[in-house]
Amino acid sequence: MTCVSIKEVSKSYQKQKVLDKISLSLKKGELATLLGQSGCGKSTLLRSVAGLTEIDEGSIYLEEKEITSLPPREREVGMVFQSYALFPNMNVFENVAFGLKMRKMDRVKERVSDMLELVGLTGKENAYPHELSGGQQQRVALARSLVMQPRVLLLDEPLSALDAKIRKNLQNEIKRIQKELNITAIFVTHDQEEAMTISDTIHIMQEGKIVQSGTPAEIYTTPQNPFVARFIGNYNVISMQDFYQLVGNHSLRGNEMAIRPEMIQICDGSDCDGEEVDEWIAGGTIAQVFMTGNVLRYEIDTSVAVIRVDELHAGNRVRIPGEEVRLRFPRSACLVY
Amino acid sequence: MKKGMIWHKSVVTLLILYLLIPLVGTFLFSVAVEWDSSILPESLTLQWYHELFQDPRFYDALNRTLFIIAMTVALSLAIMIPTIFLVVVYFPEWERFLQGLAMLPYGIPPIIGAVGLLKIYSSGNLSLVGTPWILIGAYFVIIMPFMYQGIRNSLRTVNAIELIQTAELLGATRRKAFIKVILPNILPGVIVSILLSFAMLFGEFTLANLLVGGRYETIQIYLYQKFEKSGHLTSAIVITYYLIILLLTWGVFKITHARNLSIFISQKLKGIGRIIASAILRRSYTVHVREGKR
Amino acid sequence: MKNFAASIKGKSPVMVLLIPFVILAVGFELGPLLAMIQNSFLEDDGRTFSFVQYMTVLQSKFYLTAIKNSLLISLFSATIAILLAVISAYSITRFSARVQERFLSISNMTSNFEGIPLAFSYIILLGNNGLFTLLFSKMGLDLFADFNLYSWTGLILVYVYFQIPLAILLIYPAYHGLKEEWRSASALLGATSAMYWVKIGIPVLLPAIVGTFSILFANAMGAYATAYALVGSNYNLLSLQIAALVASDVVLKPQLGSALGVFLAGTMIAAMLFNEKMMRKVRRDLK
Repeated sequence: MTCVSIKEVSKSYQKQKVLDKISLSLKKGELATLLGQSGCGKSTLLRSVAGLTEIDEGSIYLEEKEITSLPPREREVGMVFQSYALFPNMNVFENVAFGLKMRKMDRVKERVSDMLELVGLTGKENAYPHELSGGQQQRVALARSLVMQPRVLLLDEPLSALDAKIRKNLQNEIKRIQKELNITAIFVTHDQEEAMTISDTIHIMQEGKIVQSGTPAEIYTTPQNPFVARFIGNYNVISMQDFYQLVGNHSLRGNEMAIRPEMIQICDGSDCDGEEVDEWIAGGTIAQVFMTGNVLRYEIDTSVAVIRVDELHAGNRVRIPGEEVRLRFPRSACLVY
Repeated sequence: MKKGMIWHKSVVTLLILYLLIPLVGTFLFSVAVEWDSSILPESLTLQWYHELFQDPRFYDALNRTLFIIAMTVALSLAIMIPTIFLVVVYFPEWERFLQGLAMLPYGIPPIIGAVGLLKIYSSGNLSLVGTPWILIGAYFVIIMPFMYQGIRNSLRTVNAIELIQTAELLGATRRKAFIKVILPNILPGVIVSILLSFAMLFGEFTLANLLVGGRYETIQIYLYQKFEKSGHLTSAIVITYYLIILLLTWGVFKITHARNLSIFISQKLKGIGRIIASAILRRSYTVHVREGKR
Repeated sequence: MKNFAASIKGKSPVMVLLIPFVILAVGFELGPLLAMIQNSFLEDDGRTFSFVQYMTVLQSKFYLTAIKNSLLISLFSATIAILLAVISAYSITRFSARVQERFLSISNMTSNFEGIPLAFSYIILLGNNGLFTLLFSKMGLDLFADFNLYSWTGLILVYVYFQIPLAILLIYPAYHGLKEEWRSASALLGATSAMYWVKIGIPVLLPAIVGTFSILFANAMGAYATAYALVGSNYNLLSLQIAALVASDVVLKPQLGSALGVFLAGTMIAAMLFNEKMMRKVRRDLK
């Protein structure tokens, strides 16, 4: 069952196309992420759904009802901003109750306290926003939107202003609450790790277009173009000419090839002697080693480019810069564009 | 380091003496019976204050001044808050224009304003010269930079655009959102502008003298009229007047310390904007001691 | 992104709320300015277009002197005030935060002491029968024997007085832009204290100094109340002449006053432009 559907939406600011015929749809209960670098149009798209930005062309439907030209007030969407946008003159209770009162709903007290319990803020009813931490403020903002039972919840980089640790925490929390209430949500972020963690579906945006959509796993393992490959998975992207020179073999066809750092194997000594049919081997020198804990990240100088290789720390000795190594590129891991 | 401190101490001491002597002198003069030829007055008295507070003209002048200021500030609030809010939220493309218009009075000294005002309002259908109304209009313009900055910064500080959008998404009409969310949040920030405007208009002489003069005697005109008569009495007026101003600026001082309202200095305003913005702070600048230390 | 969704037709009722502002801004801000400019291009009859007022100003020794006096007094008072402010503001920064705050409050407090009350205060202290004047002559000190408050030197003295607090309050924050680390870093790199000031300190302060200077200059150019109360019409200053031409009891020549007003406005604009230009020259890092 489709909950949100966006059809051919376009928007320009002063002749610059910010949204270019974008279409996407969400199922009920789905959490979709719009992922992209700043300026790619992801926030504009979100704000169009909320009615905070007017669109030039296209239409937006919410549960089969067209809302393209409805004012924000009548759309029944909830929105959480990066800056929280809590009303500073109201305490937590009043903030969460605001929408209920505006819509003259009943059982205000009960609904508010249920919602505060859900976001883990019971007991903070009388606190004012400035007395709360950033994480707590964002929970209030979340509760304030959710208490209205919106048809879709829009989150505009809600965690970007928070510390890494609180951020991880809230990611899980948002996911949990979203599943618990079975609410449809669109989440905007520029952080690919965050997108991977939280989403059911990821839509990657670039220059006002969606360049790839899919589950986190699909996107990670099969990026459809070099841009996505670089952006999502830290892939090594090498021009085909360079790759030919690197491995001395012309059997791959295309303009560029990409391979994930963890798919390349470092080998030395006898196990590297023979090149199998489905793999290539190239030589290089360790330039840098980064210890990230469980993963060892190497930057390896080769004749054509610096190649990144990730290796699990378990059982592997740490190589030192200057060491000559050989790299094994399995054919199945090489993506060609 | 020690030697340096001696220098700095002397510099600051001289500065403070230089700044305070006229004030202290005036104060002593206002409580002296006679004071011609000795370092300190020979005998003290409160008779000049007594005389002043007996003078109905003083109260009339004070009342007129307060009336004009209160009207001006009320008018300014009633017009500037909705105007700035509407422009910021609904017509952002006009904001630069509004800012230019609002800051312009900083570049025009009152004497220049007076020339044009006299031309327009001294005859014909709009003969306002000599009435308090022309002063209210002129003062509205004079305090516009203060009011603009105060309100604009308040709106920025409370993140007005997102607040109003949030309120709308939660089902509030724009009018309701403005009244329930925007107004209560920006008023505390605007209080400083109000006090600054009061202090500034309290000391305004140029326009009062040129546009209205003796026909509607304000406190400054009264002071000037008394100028030639009794030195001691005038000192008493000066000190009383000055105490009122101090009270107002003390209020500003207290509030600016409680709330951080000087954000706009740190925002990179360009050229004239920056000068003007910093000039605006002249009366409430002390806030930067703490700011700067952070 | 800021563009809040609202169609033009939704905006029109809202635009009505802007009308009061437009009326006041036109009636009391732009209107008078334009009226002044227009008036300056009219003959004394107030009808015929001509440049006669500007010609009068440029050919009159009297008005040229007024302009010159105003320019000089503004330049002098601004220069003196800024020098004293740069020195004393630096001294202030050498004290503890609490003490700094106290000094600034005093300075801030005296910045409100201007205009009529200030002139009055100087008259009772340094006027012909002023306290200090009498006191010093009684003590046989000739210090103030030749001093005349109602003259050029007297005006400078009073102008400097009201310029200093303003200058300090504008310059002082700039010193906080000088990080202690820079001084340490330059010392570690082998710079002497003097070199630090020449290479880092002064360049960083310069925009503030230049900006403050142009504010002080404009402030003095436009000053009317203090001068009026102190010298009445006995001293030839631009602002006093303008006032006399447009609002005196004797002969009104509003068109000529307008032309002088345009000159005054011109110097203000020049001061601001000078500041802009200097700012761009000295600090290419500021855009």
